[in-house]
Amino acid sequence: MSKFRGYAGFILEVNLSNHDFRHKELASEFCRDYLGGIGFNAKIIYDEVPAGIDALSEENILVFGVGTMVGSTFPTSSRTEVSAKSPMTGRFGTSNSGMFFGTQLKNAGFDALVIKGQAEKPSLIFIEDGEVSIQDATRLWGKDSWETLDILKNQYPGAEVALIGPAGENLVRFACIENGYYDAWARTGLGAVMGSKNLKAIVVRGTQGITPFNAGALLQVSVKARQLIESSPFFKPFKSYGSMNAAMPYGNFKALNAHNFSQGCLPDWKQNFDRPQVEKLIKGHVACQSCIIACAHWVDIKEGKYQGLQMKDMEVTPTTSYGSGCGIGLEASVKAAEMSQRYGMDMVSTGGVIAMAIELYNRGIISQEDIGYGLAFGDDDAILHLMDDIAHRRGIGTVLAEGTMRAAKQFEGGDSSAMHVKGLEIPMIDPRGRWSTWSFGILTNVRGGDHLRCRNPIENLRYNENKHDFRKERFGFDQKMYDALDMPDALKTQAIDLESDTVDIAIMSRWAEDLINLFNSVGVCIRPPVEHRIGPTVIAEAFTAFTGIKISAAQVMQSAERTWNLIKLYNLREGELPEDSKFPQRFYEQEISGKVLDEERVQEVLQQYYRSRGWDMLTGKPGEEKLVELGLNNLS
Amino acid sequence: MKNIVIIGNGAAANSAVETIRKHDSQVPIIMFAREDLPEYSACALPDCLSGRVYRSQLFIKQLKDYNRMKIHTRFGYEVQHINTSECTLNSGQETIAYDRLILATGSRAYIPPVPGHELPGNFVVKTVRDIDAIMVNQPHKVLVAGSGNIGIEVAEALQFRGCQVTIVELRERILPRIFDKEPASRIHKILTTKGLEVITGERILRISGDERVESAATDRRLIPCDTVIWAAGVKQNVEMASAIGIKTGELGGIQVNSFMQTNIDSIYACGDCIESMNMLTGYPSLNMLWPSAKRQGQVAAFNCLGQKVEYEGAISFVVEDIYGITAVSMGMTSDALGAEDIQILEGENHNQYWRVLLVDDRIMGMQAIGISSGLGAMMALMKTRTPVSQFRHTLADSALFKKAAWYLPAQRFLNA
Amino acid sequence: MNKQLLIDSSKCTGCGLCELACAISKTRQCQPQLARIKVWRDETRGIFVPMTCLQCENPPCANACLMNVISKENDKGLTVRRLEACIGCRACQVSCPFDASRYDYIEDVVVNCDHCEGNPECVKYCPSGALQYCSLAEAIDCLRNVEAKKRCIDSGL
Repeated sequence: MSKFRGYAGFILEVNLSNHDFRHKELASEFCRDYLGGIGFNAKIIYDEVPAGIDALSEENILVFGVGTMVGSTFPTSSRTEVSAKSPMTGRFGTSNSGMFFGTQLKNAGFDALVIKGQAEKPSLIFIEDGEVSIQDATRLWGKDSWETLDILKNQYPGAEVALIGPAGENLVRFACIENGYYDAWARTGLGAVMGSKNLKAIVVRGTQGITPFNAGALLQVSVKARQLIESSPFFKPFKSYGSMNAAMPYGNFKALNAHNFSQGCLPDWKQNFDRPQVEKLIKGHVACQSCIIACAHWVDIKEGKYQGLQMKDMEVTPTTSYGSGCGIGLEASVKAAEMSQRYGMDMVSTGGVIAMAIELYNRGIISQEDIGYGLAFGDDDAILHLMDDIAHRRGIGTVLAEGTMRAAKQFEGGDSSAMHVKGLEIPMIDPRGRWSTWSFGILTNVRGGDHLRCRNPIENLRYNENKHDFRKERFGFDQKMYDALDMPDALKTQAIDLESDTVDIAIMSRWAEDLINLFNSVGVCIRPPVEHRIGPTVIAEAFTAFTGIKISAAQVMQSAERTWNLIKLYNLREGELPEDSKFPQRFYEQEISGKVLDEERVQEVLQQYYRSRGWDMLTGKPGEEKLVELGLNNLS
Repeated sequence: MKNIVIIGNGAAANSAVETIRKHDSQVPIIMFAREDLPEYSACALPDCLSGRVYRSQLFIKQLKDYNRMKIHTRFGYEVQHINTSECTLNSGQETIAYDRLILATGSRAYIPPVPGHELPGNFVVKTVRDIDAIMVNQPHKVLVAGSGNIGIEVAEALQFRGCQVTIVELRERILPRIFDKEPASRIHKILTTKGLEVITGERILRISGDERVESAATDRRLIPCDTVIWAAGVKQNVEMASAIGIKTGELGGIQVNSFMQTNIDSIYACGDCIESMNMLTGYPSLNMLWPSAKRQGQVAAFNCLGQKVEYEGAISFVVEDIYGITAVSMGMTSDALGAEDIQILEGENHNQYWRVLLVDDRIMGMQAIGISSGLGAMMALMKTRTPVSQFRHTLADSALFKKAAWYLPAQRFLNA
Repeated sequence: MNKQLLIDSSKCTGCGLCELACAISKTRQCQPQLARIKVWRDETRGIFVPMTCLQCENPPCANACLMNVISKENDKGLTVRRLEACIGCRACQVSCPFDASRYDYIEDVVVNCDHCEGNPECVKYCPSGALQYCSLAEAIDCLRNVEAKKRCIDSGL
């Protein structure tokens, strides 16, 4: 039996340049200060990645951080965070994925995997129960990720695989790291980092088990957490319909990324993407490790152009990125999801780049000659063709593979069609159509324009009310919901005002970001019913039961806040400027359903957010007092 | 029915009495056995040799268990003569009438009559007393003659005990009756890596020594040793049966029909002493294995009680623990399949190896090293004669698959 | 009426909570390898099948056991083991068509599902209703009925 409790106990460092392996034992202060997952990643990258390096050089470090609770019965404890300097944004790049990779890595003996250097030729890392080897992967290079998985899963039954497809190999800037067949560490171009290291795949198989500190307490808190999650009003809809629950409301609000953020919603959205159409294609539900919701769907297309396609899909991401963003139908968006997985490309960025390309084409800035074929919103054949060209850096794909921010600069007037924040394409949500904590968070997310790190745990999708000049959104729930929210009282009264039935966006954003960061540290899922009901109190209890490290709710939140601040410091060291935190100009100038973002008001909310974080209100730099509070004041 | 008499006290005999008692708590049962010991597991003897299992742990029953089951025991008494016309048998001590007689006389270890085989220091591993004798002998340098599963297990056990062990096998590969050449050579490599000396393709010509074993000579070399363990096969105990007119077959075992009946009325036979029908070929074969004996004992008992149960035939099923690595062989080997058109599905990854032998799209045998899951499903597919194409079709069709979900663990062995 | 552990694999989502719950309750380890239930996954078809001991009426494992450790001597119809007599030879594990026996590498014995004294942990933790504990009369299309009876008794497995 291991001497470690809750943790596997080691960080594995692999140097692809000299084939050096190191097992580094976890120190308890490190665990208490950073918890795990994104916390570990942030500290390692801050300390060991020199400032200003080229993200695609051998000096970049790719870190897989398994969430602390992975391997336990705690509901939804499946998540692993992967981080590196992003070739897209030039700042901290990071992404989170569930399923079973984390389980295998942790059961193989490692809480984190740190990959340094660059292999001389295409390689794969094989990890099993404490043993590591680097193997030649030349035979796999060039194969798409599903073909590669067929081979590796057959060769290593029971193993999980993190791998890249042709997009990663070709250093497409928004290439992703695939997590098995149907999942990915998608955003910020981590696949390109892996490709630049000549690393095709990481195969992990672990059978060692994890020793909990207090098995009885672990089971108890797991039961409690499950009851909490199941009691959330968000539970049943999410269980039956998954992330698609946001698709119709946002369409009704006219707050989608339709046709490259040129309309709030496509006219045929409801007809093509509503529940009946979706349910026709769904055959069953699939869960990640230890998940009680099983929000993912197994899709089986039985007729039509894409007949025969079966995969785990039907998420709001491909349907909005391709269906709404590029205007293709429901089944075509599933096909596009399949190809995104096969090529290994982030769906949001791919959809964003293609939507921009179509808009540029419609504006006459790119011609059919440039592409080799025509482009149009809704033309799924052309779009799939373009995806292929991008993945293989062919023709116009060479430029588009650079992402919207860089590609736009290649075209006269292209910038106005590039829908990104800090170089990362904006997903799904048009903040003009619906202004809320969720849309605000796109601006402040430390990894760039993205919606997954700042969702109000008590988000009310029934309402779309921009209150008090962008400073507040509607609360819309009763006293019971207010009371049940696990948030320190002082902060809760600031964040939610029952009398005016409003939520203060600046304050709630800061809380939501730290809370999600906490989830990404301990490896728990951020889906609405979980984010709603699981707070730092339950997490601290679970953390202590599993690891034996005594920690309070306030302390776990502080660890999460520390990680967020550390990442901000990293970004600042990489040259982030205050003016980077702005939406595309279009959001301030072009109206959607009569609405537009007021730049000044948004800036005010941003300043209030900085203040609530203890950061300088103008520059967004963490203040000295805050750094001292978090123990980050003596960093190099 | 007045009584049921059983000659034997091994796996088959005890399986028979347990089955009888499950269905009839009253009918008198008398058990005769040459060894004056309660039932013990002969298969676990090597584990006792190694010290991993205590001698007391070998015993499956205590004498009181027989009393509790209302079985009259005659342990230590050999049946000398059976009068088939009067239905009586004589043990030298008494004469008993029987209604039904089950012969479960088993087998004995065979020692080839080479010069010196009677010197002190020559042993077999077949009974508890054999283990006792070996331990008293304090072996140091051991020669194991024969590399069947007994030979390999004994060799590993004695090495674990601290002995220096050499295995000499007559045929070109070890475990020739259980594994094909490829898996056998992999096991051979494991054994030599662990420090066993393994010699194949040599015959032991002579054991030498003044007052006890000092060396053994093969046709090629001289091997100094103080102990020789003969694991060269077994001979079935059928002499008495033959003497009273019970038919034996070409393979040397008692012939029985599918109701375990011999050619003589009211006399049944089961276990090591019989020739059983091979489930896969339909032909008589020797299947001197524990699970076969138990099933045969069960069938014999049912038929004794008047419940007609037909024996489905025997299938080979051997599980070896070789230095912690599980090695399994089930069904037939390539040798046993002879001239048949065999399709071999072979695969390996990391520390696992398997080979499946197919004839006419049906699984006829399987051998695996380092694998312990999915084999039961393969065995079931083999026993039910499921065509592999049907297996694949069932797996591919969601509606059919629902009824045969247990196929899944076998899938990786039967990939096209 | 004895209760059965009923498995409906069409409801299984592959979450693996049953394995963890079983392992923790029996061994205090978060170790799926020690669980008496295992989820088989065919991820390329979204099919998940939890498998555990079906408490066969004439268990092949009992036949294969070299030490007669396994029997049906139990008033609940369970396949029970006298673990103190088990020598860990794994013949039973290899002979089970459902791969239901589990080798406990800590104790060097082979174990099987024992219904947790009438209150199965896996059933408690299963979030999708794929695992249920109910009497045979309540069961519909029970795997044990169709498969175990057919396979284990009629063809003498």
